[in-house]
Amino acid sequence: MKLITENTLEKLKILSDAAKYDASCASSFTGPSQKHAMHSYNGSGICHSYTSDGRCVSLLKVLFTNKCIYNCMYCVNKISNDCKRASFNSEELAALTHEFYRRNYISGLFLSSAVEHSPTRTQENIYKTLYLLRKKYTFGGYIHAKAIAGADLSLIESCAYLADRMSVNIELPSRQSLRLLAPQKSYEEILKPIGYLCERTTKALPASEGGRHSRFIPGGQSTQMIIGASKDSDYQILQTSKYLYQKMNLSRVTYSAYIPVNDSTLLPSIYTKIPLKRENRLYQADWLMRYYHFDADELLDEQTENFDLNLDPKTNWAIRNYALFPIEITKADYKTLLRIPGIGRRSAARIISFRSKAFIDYDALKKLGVVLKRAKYFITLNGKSILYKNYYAEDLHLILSDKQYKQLSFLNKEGKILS
Amino acid sequence: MIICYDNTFEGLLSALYTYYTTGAESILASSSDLFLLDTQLHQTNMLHAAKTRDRLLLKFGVEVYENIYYAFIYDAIDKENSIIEYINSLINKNICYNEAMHKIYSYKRAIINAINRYHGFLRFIDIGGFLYAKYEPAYDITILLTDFFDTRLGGSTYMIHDLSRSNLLLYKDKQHVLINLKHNVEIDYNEDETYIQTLYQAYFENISIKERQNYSLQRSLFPLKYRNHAIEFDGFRNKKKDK
Repeated sequence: MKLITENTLEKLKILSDAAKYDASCASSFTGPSQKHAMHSYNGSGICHSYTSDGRCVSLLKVLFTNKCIYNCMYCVNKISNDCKRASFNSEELAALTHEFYRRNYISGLFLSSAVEHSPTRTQENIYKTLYLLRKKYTFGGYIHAKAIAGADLSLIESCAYLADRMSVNIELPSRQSLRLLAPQKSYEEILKPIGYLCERTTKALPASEGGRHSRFIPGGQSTQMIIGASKDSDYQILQTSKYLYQKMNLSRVTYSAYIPVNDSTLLPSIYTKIPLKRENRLYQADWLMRYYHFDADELLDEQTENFDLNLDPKTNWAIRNYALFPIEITKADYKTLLRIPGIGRRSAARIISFRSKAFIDYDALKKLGVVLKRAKYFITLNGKSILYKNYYAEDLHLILSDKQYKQLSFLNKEGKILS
Repeated sequence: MIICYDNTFEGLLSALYTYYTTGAESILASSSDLFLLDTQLHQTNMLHAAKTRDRLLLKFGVEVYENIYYAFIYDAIDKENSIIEYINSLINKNICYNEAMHKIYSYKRAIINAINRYHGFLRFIDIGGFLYAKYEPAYDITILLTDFFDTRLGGSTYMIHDLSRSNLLLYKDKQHVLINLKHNVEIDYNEDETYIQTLYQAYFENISIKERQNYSLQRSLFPLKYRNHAIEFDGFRNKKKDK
């Protein structure tokens, strides 16, 4: 029986188009999934192509189906939307993934789905596809599968043994927003599979029983939330992320800027600009929390609820805490160095290793990867600053801001010089 | 006197042996425009090459040996001099970051970047159970791709065709064979293969978000020089039409 048919093309068009708003990880390396697998994966984060929006094509990112029983206001696949609907069958999708993979078009599969009939039935379809890939095709590539909120937990667990990473979409940053925009879903139902997977992954089980180092989602679990569809502040978003990282042991939270696809009084206008800058600032803040030892409460508080879009979160924090600066480069420890704008993890590690062996000057700092145009306002080197005058925090806000200043026109609308 | 070697890595190692034992002026790869110089054509001695390799590995380790290999692959005019200076600075225990080291590391970076890119950008086509890929790399990196694709393709028989150098690498039954092709090879494939390519093109078009289009970013991440044989940019199809 031919598994890839003439209909596959149409289905692929519909279901890849429906999946394009999902933020997917780029094949985080988790090691070959099966020993002696026919196609064992051997590399990390390979990009096979780049789409016209500049995003990397690493995985075959599709929905299993876009036929949905829910009516979430922000979603392009909601039941009340008049759009083309399609569903793969498991054999077809597994064969398609295998064919793409062996031609080096992709590194793996990112499988999400709308909820058709019931969450458990949808999860069952996902499981079937994963099972066929791993067992029939001995597929050793990367698999990211969605856990559907409300599905049977034992099915989710079975998927977790086959996938490299799983994720449950938290959808919106707060309980209130979810109640408003997706009343058929509940926060408790979403958190249930997250908590279950967290419990299973963090349990100190031996590898043979599905401990962290066995094939039980070795890439951990992640989640995605939509930014800008609801009125939640950046502070609220970061608090949710903090909770997910600390309590649910998530590997990654992805933020997806809301693209206005539906018209509703509860949603931003269809003509609203996509909040890409805000998305970027949230990713930067997320990075600070994960790798730079920052706490969500340090970055924002209840008084300052949103990021200044013209400044990156680290510079913003440094300006607000200007009293802690300047920091002496030759004496500061690694964690303190990380707090200086313009110094990243790599350059901080280089400074630590280099300063014990040789004399550091500003030229050397540049060569070590420090972005001096930002860092110079916050550091001293051997007791001296590179600056000729002292700056106040307000001055720095103006100097370091991304804001683009435009030359105002000297002419009026008729083209005459303004008096 | 300048030692002129045959442009192979073994030739270079052998020439290095002669350079350090006779005290020659420098080493150059043989080419037709060297007739004005005081050159001596060097006959590759495999024993000398093996001796140089062993000494480099024993004295400086695998990393240095690899760096020299990468520098050899890199198509720079003065790569031999950079290699000699690099070895000299290691012999003199001059651990400071000098010009020669900088050059060698930049060559290495360029080669590794090219290899990493082709891990993703190489496209295979199924020609009756065989997988075939063609590409036009700036450096001779075909051999260096095999480690990755041997495991990636799970032992399937595959061919990588370097069109720039007319080299074809064949992997079959866990063995690699490098063939120098003197004639053009025309590869034909069936409708199933065309359909899979159409599916991928459709996927590629539909996965991008129109509201976020950024062609300059796409171009910087996937430069035009890599797109000739990428089916999503219609490389294969155009070539076929041309024929």
